[in-house]
Amino acid sequence: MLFVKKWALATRQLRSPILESSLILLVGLTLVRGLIYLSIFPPFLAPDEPAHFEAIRLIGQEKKWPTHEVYLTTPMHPQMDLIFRQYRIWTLVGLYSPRENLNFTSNLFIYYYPPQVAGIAIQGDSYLMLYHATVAPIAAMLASFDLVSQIYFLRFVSVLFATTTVVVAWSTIRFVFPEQKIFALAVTSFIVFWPMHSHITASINSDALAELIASLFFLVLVLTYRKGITIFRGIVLISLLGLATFTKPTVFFLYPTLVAVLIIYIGRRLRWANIVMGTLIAILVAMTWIGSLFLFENSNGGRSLLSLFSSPLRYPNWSTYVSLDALNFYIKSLNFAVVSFGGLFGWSNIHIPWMWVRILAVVLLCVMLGVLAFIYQNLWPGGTNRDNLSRYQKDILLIFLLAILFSAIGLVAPLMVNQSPSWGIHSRYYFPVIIPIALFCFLGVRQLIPTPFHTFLLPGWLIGWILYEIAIFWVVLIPFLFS
Amino acid sequence: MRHFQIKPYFYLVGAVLLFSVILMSWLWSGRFSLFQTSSYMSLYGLSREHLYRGHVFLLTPDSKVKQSFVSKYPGLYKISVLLTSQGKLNQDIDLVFHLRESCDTQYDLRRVGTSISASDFDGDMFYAFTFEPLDDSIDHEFCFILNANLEQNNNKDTLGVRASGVDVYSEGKAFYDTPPKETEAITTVEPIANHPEYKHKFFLPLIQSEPMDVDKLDTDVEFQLHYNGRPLETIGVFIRRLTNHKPYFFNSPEFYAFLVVIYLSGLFFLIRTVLAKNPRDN
Repeated sequence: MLFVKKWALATRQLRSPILESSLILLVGLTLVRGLIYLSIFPPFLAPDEPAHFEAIRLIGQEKKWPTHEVYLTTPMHPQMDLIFRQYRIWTLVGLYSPRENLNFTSNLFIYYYPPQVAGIAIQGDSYLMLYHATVAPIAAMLASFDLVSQIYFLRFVSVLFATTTVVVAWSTIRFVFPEQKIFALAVTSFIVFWPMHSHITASINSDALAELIASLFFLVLVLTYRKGITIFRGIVLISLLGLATFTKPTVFFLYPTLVAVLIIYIGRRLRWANIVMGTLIAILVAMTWIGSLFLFENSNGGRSLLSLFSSPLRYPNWSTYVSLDALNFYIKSLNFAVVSFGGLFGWSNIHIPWMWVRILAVVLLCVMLGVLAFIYQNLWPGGTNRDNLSRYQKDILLIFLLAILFSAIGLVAPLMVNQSPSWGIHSRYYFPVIIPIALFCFLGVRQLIPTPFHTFLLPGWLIGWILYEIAIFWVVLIPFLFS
Repeated sequence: MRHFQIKPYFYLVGAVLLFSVILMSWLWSGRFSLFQTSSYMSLYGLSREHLYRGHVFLLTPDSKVKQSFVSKYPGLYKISVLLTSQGKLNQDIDLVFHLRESCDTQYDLRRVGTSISASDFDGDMFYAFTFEPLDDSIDHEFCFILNANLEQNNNKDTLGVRASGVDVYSEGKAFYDTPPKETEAITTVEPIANHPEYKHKFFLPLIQSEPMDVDKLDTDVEFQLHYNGRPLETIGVFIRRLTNHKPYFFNSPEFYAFLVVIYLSGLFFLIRTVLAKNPRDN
């Protein structure tokens, strides 16, 4: 409560009628979009949704911790197969139905779902379970409802997480750029209108919570950097780091990010030369890279953290990371990443047309060039526009940039270790850095637009996202889901 | 002399009226070709993993491939069938496509004759048969029949239709009509079940090699239905499918109309706010 009060006090000085009305609209739109997405996607037709639901149900309704033994002895929800049949889920995902096609009669979830998707059930002894434990009490309250209602309610919890993220993102950017109102609107509209974000945050999945925790971390970090460290803010930061540790490996990048913040903060205070700070950050990046390879080599992609201490340490096999086959695999993974950014819905089986993927790849490449140009002109020592930003803004942008880099390392490391498409770069894996990514995307686009046309930038950005979403709905989602 | 000025909201009212007239005329007399059934190629032995067993029904002069199905939307006007050839075709092949009320009747509702160009075909390909739209095709059962005129063809050319290993389409069934002596015309695509779970739990019974019994074959060919129906009827079917099996207010069309109106209003006000008071980019 104390934090909320302080936050409210701090935001009071940043008030602006136009922004506030826009924020209210964006929050309302997030909720409405959440309801639309959660209701048009059939139950369980979201990434890993059956597995997440079953784990939550076991904790909340069966009062059992979802271990392998529990899955072997506890029947799945009695309506699960019925719902799969009513909504044609197995057909929609292009898989055989265990009951209808394969004559499989077991009522155990571990034999019903995981073998069909060549995956695993979410087990409490080898998976980070904060999300499941958090929403389990809600699942317990919903026990008397029918299964579809339970799914819709739990999906709506994710929508609420996402709505909070929108408010947090708005506040964060307003703290960084209090005078440049356009940035807060641009970043929040990216978060609200990105179709993949709407889909994942309207499903039962730990990504919405992971994103919220990371976004809160950025907000407190920005606040702390601006107003100085206090015991209270320190505790909040450490607590958020602790929560992140038990939510999802995609949030682990917060650890090196915090170290980078300390380097930059201390460096500024002690007036270190740029070369000293740059060297320290380069060492941090290298250590994060190597550490990630070790982590993913030894912990099933960071999910089985406990196994780090119970089995002998395996060393990364460096030679396999740089072979021709590996290079070919990385290019395919990059292609997958573009598809997943543009739209890869359901069980990663409903995708945007391939022509769109090519166009999107070109657009993203241009945006990336714009980002590089922005970094060179505004952040790089000796850049031509360095005076346009304050020291505080430059530091925060540098921290955001490093956060994106650390998150990218966390996504690429399992790919290098496993060389398997099952570790593809899904867009939901970088939701935790959605604020920095949205900001840099907008800065990259802005860099590409000549200054006289900047007046049209925000309307164009907004209308572009809306048109893209309309195309996604009418070309990809509606024809697939309701044909 | 005072100049006559049109007030801004007249423009707005005019635009709304014009839009309404265009919309109404489209709803009344237009066509709506958004919907088509999706492809589930992975179920026909064509997924990357090739986990499933599929069949190929070879098209020979005496054989017919039939598939019954239920059309969901109005304006059924095109059916794509997944054809496959073992390598490049040597010459063009004539195909005849029949659409009938059922697989047992002889009367063709629609008949399409076409020639597959040898140069265009290699491997697996959806081949579309287009015909005059059937306006009364909502929830209507049909059957399509495919046969090839291969008399002029040499024996090296093989053209077939992809079919699943088991029943994957619950609203219809495929039949392979062929004289008894030619049952060997069915070839089987074996799955590569490399995942240990698949080998031991589900797929072992499926990949056992057994003689094919055509009469007992419970299978479906891979096909897609395309619709180009009247908008009002199409939207009606869409809403029915959207609300089907859903609890509480989620099964009410009014709820979705409400959501859409709220959402569009939110978008309108957001764009208006941004356009009217575009925040300065300092």
